[in-house]
Amino acid sequence: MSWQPGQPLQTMTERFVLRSILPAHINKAYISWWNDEEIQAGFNFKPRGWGLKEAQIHVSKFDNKESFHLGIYDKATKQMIGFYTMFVNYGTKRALTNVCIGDKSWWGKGVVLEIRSKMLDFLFFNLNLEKVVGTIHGRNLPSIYNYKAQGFRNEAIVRSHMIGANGGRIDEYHFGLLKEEWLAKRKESQ
Amino acid sequence: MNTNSNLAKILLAKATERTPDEVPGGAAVDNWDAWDSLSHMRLILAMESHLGRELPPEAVVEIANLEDVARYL
Repeated sequence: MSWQPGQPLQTMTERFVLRSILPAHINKAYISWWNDEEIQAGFNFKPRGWGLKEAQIHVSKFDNKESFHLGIYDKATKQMIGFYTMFVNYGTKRALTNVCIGDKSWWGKGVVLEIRSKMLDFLFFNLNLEKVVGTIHGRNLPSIYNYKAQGFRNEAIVRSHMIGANGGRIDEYHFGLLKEEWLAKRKESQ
Repeated sequence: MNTNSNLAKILLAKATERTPDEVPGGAAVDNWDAWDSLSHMRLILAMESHLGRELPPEAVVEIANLEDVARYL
């Protein structure tokens, strides 16, 4: 993968192209995901009420060095179907990632496992990080499945840690994957 | 095979839209393609419906194979 810090990142998997989202890439579908109740519930947010301006401000915050916001494009249709976000801490050699599959026709089709596998390689081998973590707000069963299926360990369940988007307190689930665990997982699946 | 193991297989079969005979004995989230994120959600909800209560968070993050399913039924 050819990439320099600060430059847009582009890579691909069997079915998808991943590339840094620039303000010019924003389309109606991307904006709609921020305003979709079901999708935002996965992040424990209510619909944001975003328009083009808010979306442009959001994507402009990512520097492609310590923070990445990648569009997930279906190779066949060239349409953006979601996005993958990574925050890198080079000091602790750790990254926090999250994902959104905005096009619901892709739910349950292994998108997260396919693209996260590629990005775990990038984080561990290109950036030489030692740990990748993910946080789930509330009981998001598909997200929990995806972390488990990829070898992440549940490291903590922080009880009643935050207020849910629809009221009431909810737990926060912490998942983590070490570099050596990812290496073992890759070996096991080969 | 005990009752819980049978029931676990039946619930997993329904969740994955397969027959119980098609569920491998060692089925797990990382070794059986039919067990995807949506079928996992259906499975947990079916277990909770059978039990008549919500599974505790510790169980929800632990369930990753057929044995785990049987253990929590």
